[in-house]
Order: sequence, then C-alpha cells, then structure tokens
Amino acid sequence: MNKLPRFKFFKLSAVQPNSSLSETRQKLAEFQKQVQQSKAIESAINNVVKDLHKVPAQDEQPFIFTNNIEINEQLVRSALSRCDDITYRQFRAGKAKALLVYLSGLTDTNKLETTVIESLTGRLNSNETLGNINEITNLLITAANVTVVPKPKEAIANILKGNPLLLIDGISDAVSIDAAKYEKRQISKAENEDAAKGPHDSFNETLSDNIALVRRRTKDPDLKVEIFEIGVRTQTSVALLYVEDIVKPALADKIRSQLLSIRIDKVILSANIEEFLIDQIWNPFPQVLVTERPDKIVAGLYEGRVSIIVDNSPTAMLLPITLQDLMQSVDDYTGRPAVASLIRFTRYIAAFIAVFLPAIYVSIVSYHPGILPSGLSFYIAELRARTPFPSLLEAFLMEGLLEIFQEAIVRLPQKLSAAAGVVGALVIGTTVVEAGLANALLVVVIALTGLSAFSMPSYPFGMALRFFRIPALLAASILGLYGISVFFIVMIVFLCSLRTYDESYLGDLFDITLIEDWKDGLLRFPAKFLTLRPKRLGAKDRTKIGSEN
Amino acid sequence: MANLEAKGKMSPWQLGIVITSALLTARLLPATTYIVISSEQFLWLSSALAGLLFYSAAYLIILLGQQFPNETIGEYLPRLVGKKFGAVVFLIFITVQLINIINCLIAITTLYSIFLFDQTPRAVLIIVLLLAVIYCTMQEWGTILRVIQILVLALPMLYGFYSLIWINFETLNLLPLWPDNFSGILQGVAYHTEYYPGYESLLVLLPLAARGKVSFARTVGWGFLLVTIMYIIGGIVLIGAISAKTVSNVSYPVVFAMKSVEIPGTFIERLEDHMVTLFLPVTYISMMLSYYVIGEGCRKYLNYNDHRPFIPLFLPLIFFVCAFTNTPDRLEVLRNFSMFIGLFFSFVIIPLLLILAWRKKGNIEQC
Repeated sequence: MNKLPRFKFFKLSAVQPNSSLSETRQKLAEFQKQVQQSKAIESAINNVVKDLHKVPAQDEQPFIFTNNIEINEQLVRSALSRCDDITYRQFRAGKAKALLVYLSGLTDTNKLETTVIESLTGRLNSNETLGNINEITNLLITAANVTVVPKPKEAIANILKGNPLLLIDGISDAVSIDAAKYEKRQISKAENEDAAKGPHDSFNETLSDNIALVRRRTKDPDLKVEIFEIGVRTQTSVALLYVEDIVKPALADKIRSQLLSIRIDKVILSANIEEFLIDQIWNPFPQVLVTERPDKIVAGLYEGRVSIIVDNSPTAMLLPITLQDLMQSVDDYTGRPAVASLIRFTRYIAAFIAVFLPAIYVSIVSYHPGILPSGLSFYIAELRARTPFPSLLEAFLMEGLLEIFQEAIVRLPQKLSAAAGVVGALVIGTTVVEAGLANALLVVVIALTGLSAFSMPSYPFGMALRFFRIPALLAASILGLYGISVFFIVMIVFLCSLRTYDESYLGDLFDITLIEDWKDGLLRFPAKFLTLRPKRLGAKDRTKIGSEN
Repeated sequence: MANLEAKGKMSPWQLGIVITSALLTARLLPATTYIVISSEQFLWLSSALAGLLFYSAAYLIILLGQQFPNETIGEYLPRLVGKKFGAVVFLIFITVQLINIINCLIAITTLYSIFLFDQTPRAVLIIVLLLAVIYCTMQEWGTILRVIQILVLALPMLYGFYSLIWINFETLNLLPLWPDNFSGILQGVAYHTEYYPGYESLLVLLPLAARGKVSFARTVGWGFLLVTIMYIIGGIVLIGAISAKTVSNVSYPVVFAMKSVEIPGTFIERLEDHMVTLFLPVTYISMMLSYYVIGEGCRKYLNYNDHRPFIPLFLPLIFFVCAFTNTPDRLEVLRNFSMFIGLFFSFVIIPLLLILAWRKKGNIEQC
C-alpha cells in the first residue's frame, strides 16, 4: 500500500528556491482556485446525496422521486432496465426540462402529442417557469384523466399499463396520463354458448369492454363494480360485480375478502382466480358458472349472485351456482315455457345417459342379459360373439377412442376439426366394427353417450359427467346393475354434500322447503308466475320489480 | 331461513317424508308370505289394522317427545329411569335400529342375489351396500335430508311398477269377502313389524324438526296413512293377482306376481328385475336413517360433538350378523327376535316411559 505523504512545513525559499515572488504568488492563487473548485464539487455532491436521502424510500418502494429530472430519469431507467420497449421522450416545458416515459405499443402517441406535449410546449414561453403540480395537471395538460403519482412503484405500474409518465424538472411528483391504447378483439358472437333467439354479443378479453357490456344492459345505480389488482407480478385487474340491494348479505363481502387474500404471482386466466374461490378443489363438478354471455351475468346478478370478471379473459364468472344453473340455457327463456320445460327435463335424462349408459350396457351384457326381451338378447349375443374382448374392455376401448377424438377435434383448427370428425366417425362407425374390435350396438351406445355429454349447456359440466363414466363402468363390471344402483346412490350423496358458499349444490331440486323455487328449476314456468327471486340464493329483496301486478 | 344454511333442521312435512320413506323397505317382500299364511286373503285388513297399531306407537313416541322437546331419548332416559335402566333401554333402542339395518341388508341382498345374480357371494353385496350407507351417514343431517328427498322418488316409481300387477287381477281370488279367522288376521298384524319399521327413529329425529303450525302427529300420520293405503291396495292386488294360496307358498310373492305380468306388444319384459332395482334406493333410505339415528343417539347419550365416530363402530357387527344369518333357521330366529324386540320396545317400553314422564311432570307441577 502506498503511504500518503505527510505534510511538513518548510520555508517558501526552500521549496521554490528558483522562483521569484511574483511567480510564487501566481502559483499560490492557482492553488487557492483549485481548492475553491474542489469545495464547490464537494458541495454539489453533498447536495445530490442530500436530495437522495432527504426522504427515505418507503417500504416496498424501489426509490423516491427527487426534484432533479436527470436523477429521476436515471432512477426510472434503472427500475426499467433492459426494457427496450420503453420510450423516453424529452422536451422543454417553458424553462424546465420535461420527460415522458411510455410503453411503445400500449400508448396512444397521438393523444399524448396533443394533450401533453403540445399543451406544455405551445402554451409556455421558453423563459416561462412552471407553477406547482396542480397547475400543471389542472390547467396545462388537457388529457381526460391525469393522476399525480408520488409513489414510484405506482408510477412504474402505470407505465406498464400503457399510461405514460410525465416528469418535470424541479417537481418531485410524477404525473400519470391516461393514454393507454392497445390492440383488442372486437366484441363478437359467442363461440361456445350461441343462442338461437337471444342476444349474440359476448365478452372479449378487455375488462372495460366486458364491464361496459354488463352496464349497457342495466342502468341500475345499485349495480356495484369494484376493481382489484391481483397477482403480485401481473397486477391483473379483477372486477367484482353485484347488485347491492339484492345480493345476499355478506356474500359480496366474503368474495371480496377471498379475492383480496389471493397471493399469487400471476393471473393469466379467470380459472386462476376460480380455484381460489372454491373449497372442494378435487370435485370434478364446476362450482362456478363460467360464461361468455353478458345477458347471463346480468340475469344472475339480479337473482342475487355475484360476478367476477378477470382482465384478459373472454369469460365472466357467476357464483354461487347450483346444478340447475348448469342445466339451463338462454334458449329456455326465449322459447315457449312448455317446450323449455320439456327440453330441461330431457337434459337431465341426457346427463344420466352421459354417465350411466355404457355402464348399463356392460352390466346387461355381462350379468343380466335376461333383463332384455329374448329377441334383443339373442341379437346382442350374436353381435358379441364376433368380438374377442370382454364387454368391459370393449367399452373401455370405445370410450378411449371417443375421448381421443373429442380431444383432437377440440384442439384442431376449425377447418381441420370437421375433417377429423369425419375420419373419426368413419373409423368408429365402420372400421372398428369391421375389424371385430367392437360390436355395432356398443358403437351406438358410445355415440349416444358422447352426444348426451355434448348436449349439456355447460361444457365443464359435460366434462364432469365424462369423468364419472369411468367409475360407473367399473362398478357395472364388478357388480352389474347392483353396482350401478349403489354408484348412483353414492353420486347422489356426493352431490347433496357439495356446498357453494353455504348453499346446496343441488339448489332447490326436490327440496320441499324451497318448493316456490321449483317454478324455474327442473321446469320453466311462464314469466308472469316468476314473481319472486329464488329463495335458495337468499336475496335481500325477493320481489322482482314490476312483476307484482 | 331463506336459504340452505339451516342445515341441521327440518320442517314438520320433511319429518313426515323422512318417516314415510323409512317405513317401506325390501323387508316386506319375504314377510308377505308368512303374513298371508296367518291372515290368508285378508292381508289388506291385516295391513290396515297394523297401520293403525303402529301409528299409535309412533303417536306415543311423539307424545313422549313433547315431554322432552329438543332432547333425544339418550338425553332424557337417565333422568327418567335412572342411569342403569336408562342404559338398558338405550341399548334396546340401538338394538332395534341395528336389527332394522341388518334385516334390510339381508332382504335386499338376498333379493338381488336370487333375482339378478347367480354366483356373486352375498357378503360382497352386503359390504358394498353397507359402505355406501356409511358414506351417507357420515354426512351432516342437511345432506342426509336432501338424499332422502331425492331417493324417495323411487317410491312412486316402484309403486307404479307394482301397479302393473292389476293386469292379472281376478276378483274371485279375494273371496270370501267376510273374514272368519280373526285370530289369524291379528297374528298377521304382529308380523307387520316388517312392514312398518323405522318409525322408532322419531325418538332421535324429533329434536331435529322445527316446530311450526303443523303438528308432527299430523305429518307423521299422513305418512302412515299413505303407506297403509299403499299396503292395503297392494295387498288386495297381490291376492287378486296370484291368490292367497300361491302367496303362502312362494318366498317372494310380490316378485313372483310381477314375473307373471306380461304387457303384450311392448318392448318391456321381465318387469320384476326393474322392480328389484327400485327396491334398493327405497331400502337404502331406511338403513341409512337407522344408522344415522344410532350415531346421533350415541352422540347425544355420550355427549359427543359429532356423530361420525360412532358410525364405523357398528360396521363389523352388522356385517358379521348379516353374513352369519345365511340359513333359513337363522333367518327364522332373527325374524322372531326382531319382531319380539320391536313390539316390546314400541308397546311396552315406550308406554311405560310415557307414563313415567307424565307422572314426573305431574309431580313437578304439584310441587
């Protein structure tokens, strides 16, 4: 280590033996000047340090804005380092320097130009100084929505949402300008829940559009919309909708607290939220109604339910729900009540078929051929004699094929899926039978089973029915009709034991204490009979407005 | 309450449904034979008298329950008859419920093994059904109540199937219309313990029912009336279809009668198999209810928080007795024992308890 020179005092003549007095004075003056300059530098450094440490950064804040725009720029740049899609646009607002920070592609630059840059540069002379932050936001900037954001974390989040950030020299607050603009899908026809006579518009991936679709259907000030940001990293906007004077007391509060307690890093799909709202996560039956139809959401809200809409998801959630809600479609309300009731009843039969038909086939073929009329029994025996497999294996084979084709058709592009459907139908319908792998009756059974599952108005509910087909098949293969009966009872018990927000999953189905709800359950009574909201949902105001006459 | 949060209570009408659904089980199938041996073609009269008799027993239970509202039998017995006698009576009550489960299990599994299976061991059928019963019994009362209200729909379907026997009805089989063997009819009434089981559950279920404008006696009475009418009509049609002599000579006369039904020109054949299938949910309700009553009764008696710990305790016992009772002699012993203990409990113990309760209440009022 080099040792620092130690100061020693000598006579000037000894140090500068050859200099004249004037030269010595000149050098002394230069030295004094250097000392002054170093003091100024020290003072400037101290000022910067003072600025940095004037107010300590609060918890969870990466830094704190200063009066110096250059420092602020450096701080923002360091917070958004290696984000090449961030644009920094410098300009002069009167005498002061100004900086706009925004995300390219998510910001409306034209709007920014007219409402911020032109306003600040055009209205102020080059020597004019800016007033305080309120003057800037209230008088100078002409954008519709301007927010002062003193917290850097909020400022950064706003930039990432597409709202530009304005920094001005001499002002230690940042200004966020609502100028977000991004490409989005237009409101289009519902793809999975099309209705013959009902409205055709459906949700898209933009939260504001989706809320607007709901709002457009009702001018009710009691319809409340609360927006939260969930996801530590993604900061996804999630809206909670309910009708304040109808929703069951404490239901909205409970769901709100559930939403606020979600601690995950990302929310990409509405399903990410859904799984935090239900208790029985291993239950295959859907406990939240997911729909892409705004009319369904509005109808649900006015029955006393709560809706959740997640940004970037083309669907909204409705909860709590019951089994009947999954078995109803919009067409039930656009058609004649008698026909709608018949169709609803048919859906319940279809649900039974979707789970139990293959099992009934296996049990009859394996255990109880005598239950059939003799002619049919002999015919089936003849068909079965051509196939080498036991009925259970045969059923599993066909079931497996059906599942594979279903998956293939769902995953493929629309044009190809039609072709795959034809190939599947040919393979299942003819080749498998001709190859002797399965008999023709089983093909009919499996096809009918598949169609029954597809006929469910709710796709997740149809999937749940598919799930239960396998245990039903196993029960039938072990104990025949006895096994099916026991499995059916166990399934009933399971369904009865399910709860969604303290409500029975089966709702009013055959519950005599809720007999007044039966008018719009298994059957659909005409609208003039439906004078009350469902009792099962515990709505505060049960009277449907305008229906008392 | 407006919604379903009130899971632990039921309305008086729900109580009526619960008791009605507990009464009709597969136990009546083999019992019909020996009832008809005694009461011959007057099965319907015997059933009507039995309905009256067993409703009176149920009525006594309701009266007893009124003396101790919000309490089950296990809670007031020690106060009423002392700890030791209370334990004995409670044990008899549990035995009555256990015997109902055992009889139901034996009846339904025998029925299945005879008519729908040829080789499957009955023990397998017993354990599977018993596990299904336990699964339901492990739920809370609200769930059990919903299960009952759904499965009870099998009852009208079953009766609908059974009504097809009318096709073979012949009035001559009912003659003579005037009974000359009254003692036989009365003997047949005693055998009706198999026709009207499960009403003893009221001793535990009454506190679970909310008292309202309608009295329990009325709702339970409607249930008994409905079942009795079904039995009366069923008895008339059965005797009319296959005659009393045939009924007394076959093991399962109802199924036998169903076998002889043919609906020409229709696809449907062998209706007895469908009817047998429908007996399962109907019998399941009674078994599950008795099992729940055992668990809930023990919970209250031993002051536990939950009825669930008591449910698995009885599984080995029930299974063993069911599996052991596999010969006609053992079945006969079990049948006689269940009849004796059922009648003893309903017509000796319950009236005595009621008299004691009245006397104690009278003493307190005098004081």
